[in-house]
Amino acid sequence: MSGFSVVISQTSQKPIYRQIEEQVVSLIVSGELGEGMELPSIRSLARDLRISVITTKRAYDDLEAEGFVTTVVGKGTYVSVKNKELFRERKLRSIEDKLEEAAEEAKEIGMDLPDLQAALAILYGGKTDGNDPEG
Amino acid sequence: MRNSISALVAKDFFCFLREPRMLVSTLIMVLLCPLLSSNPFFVVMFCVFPSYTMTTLLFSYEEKYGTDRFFASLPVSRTAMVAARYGGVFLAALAGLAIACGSDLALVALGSGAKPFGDLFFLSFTAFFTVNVSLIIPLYYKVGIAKARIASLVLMMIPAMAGGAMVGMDKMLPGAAESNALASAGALFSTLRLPGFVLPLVMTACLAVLAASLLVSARIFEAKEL
Amino acid sequence: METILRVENLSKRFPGFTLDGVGFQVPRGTVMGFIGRNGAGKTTTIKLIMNLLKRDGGLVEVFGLDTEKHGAAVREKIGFVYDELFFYGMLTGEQMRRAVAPHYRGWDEDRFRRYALDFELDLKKPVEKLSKGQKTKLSLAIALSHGAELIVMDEPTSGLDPVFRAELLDVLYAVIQDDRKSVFFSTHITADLEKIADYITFIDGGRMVFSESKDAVMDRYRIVRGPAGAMTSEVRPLCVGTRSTASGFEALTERVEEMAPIVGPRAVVERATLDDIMVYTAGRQADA
Repeated sequence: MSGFSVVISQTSQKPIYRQIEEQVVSLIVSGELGEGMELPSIRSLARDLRISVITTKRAYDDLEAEGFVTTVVGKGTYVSVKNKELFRERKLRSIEDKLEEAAEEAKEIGMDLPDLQAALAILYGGKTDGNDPEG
Repeated sequence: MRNSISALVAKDFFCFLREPRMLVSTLIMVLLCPLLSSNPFFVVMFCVFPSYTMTTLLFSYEEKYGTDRFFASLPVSRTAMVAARYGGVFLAALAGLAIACGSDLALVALGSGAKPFGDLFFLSFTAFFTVNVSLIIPLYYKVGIAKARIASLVLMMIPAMAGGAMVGMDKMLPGAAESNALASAGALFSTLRLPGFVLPLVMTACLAVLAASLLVSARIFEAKEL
Repeated sequence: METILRVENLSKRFPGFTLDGVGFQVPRGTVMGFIGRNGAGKTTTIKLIMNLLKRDGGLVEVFGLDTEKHGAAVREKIGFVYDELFFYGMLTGEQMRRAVAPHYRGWDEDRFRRYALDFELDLKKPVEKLSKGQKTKLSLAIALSHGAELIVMDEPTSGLDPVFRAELLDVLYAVIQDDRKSVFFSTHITADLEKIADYITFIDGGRMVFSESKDAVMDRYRIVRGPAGAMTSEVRPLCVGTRSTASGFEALTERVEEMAPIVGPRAVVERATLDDIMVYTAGRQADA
């Protein structure tokens, strides 16, 4: 379980089971949680995070319904791989939608493509291979 | 169930035996018994004294520490708790009886002029114990220690005093036996020899009374709010 | 899911207080928190479950067995921790064990020793000389050492500091790693329950307010704070309860989506704590 790390906020408006789901999904997508890897049991996770079992169970049930994990009764919950592709697919589509929106808005104010690309580069984290527009 | 009852009796005796009061009452009994062995009533009272002390102690602990609530939360029935109380009290009285008999026989052996206890003594003991316990324990369960304790003391003392008076009168007024009914009863009591069937009959009757008392106490305790 | 503890329409009448219509179910392998103010009826309910009191009406079943008809069988599998140690004060923890162990068929001596060690209990001290925390731990050690499948606790942490409460929580988390065990505990210190409880039953003035999954409860209620002027007659019925001061109002609501647009952008919306829910709901019950 070396890749497993979930940090929750008790004060956030987002329900805790949602927080867990989202973090587990991003761990799977980023590869930190590899295929076939076992997740902590719902009870030990509840203990570690100091939340209730019904919350961890809901998170795992949702993850299973969405197709990211599989629970084998009596054994445990494991990352199930093929849905990682499905997720990436979904994520790509969502990225495309957002980029399309950004492109539309850029055209509205007369921003040209190189400027838009530069802005994206800054937002992404500065990997501009040499061209640093703001110096 | 049997395991539970014996465990409860053991617990009761443990609480009782670690009390200095128990030791004191036993000593009183052992020391005073031979001095009063001519008067069976006093001896009977002292034999029952350990069970009186034990009952008072245990019921007052129950009220002080609220242990009823604790034990009633264990897998023990309330009837078992009551049965254990009766059993423990009975054993304590038997222990008292054994000590008194032992002390008496020792004195007889020493040739001190003491007489061995006769049928009448055991009859009185059985009857006295039965009446005492059968009335008092349900009372403890019903009204609690503060009220029951006084009744218990009275119930134990009055017959003993009356009996003592009867025997005493016989001794003080040697000729009174013929003229005074009460004195003659006292005289009778000291020297009477009973037909063989009386003692077993009385003992059976007493067991029945004790059983009835146990059922009454169990009923009271079953309904009690803890 | 199997129901470990089922209470239906429970009622009990006292001269100054009535418990009425109390009902809830605790599934196996879950933790239910039982909340309410002092005097709301929590201890009475627990006493009715443990058969210390006789109910006037309703049903209490543990493991499917009626607690009045099968009291002893049911209590074999219940571990109890009350708010006080109702045992002979002059006896020690060791003597308490000796008095208790023979009554439980499932008594596990090794387990008791281990708990006594973990809890750092002095079993040779008369129990009346133990601190409240030690007394609670002693009760808990016994409650957990006879194979109990339902742990019932009545205000186990009242009067105890946060350090103790955190320790108790650790113990409970360890207990529920076994999915056969359930915990039912009453408290008016709700912070602990917000963490571990799967279900919350809220009782007030002898009556049920709700019995639901904790997540559902916590997701449903919100605390809204805003300027005093925003608490209008239009807004008030949307709230469970309100508190108004010169500097603003605070309200508990189940209908935040309806409220938020009316009170405007200056309002602050937060998740309500169980304390908030208890305070605002209890106040309202009193008016109703």
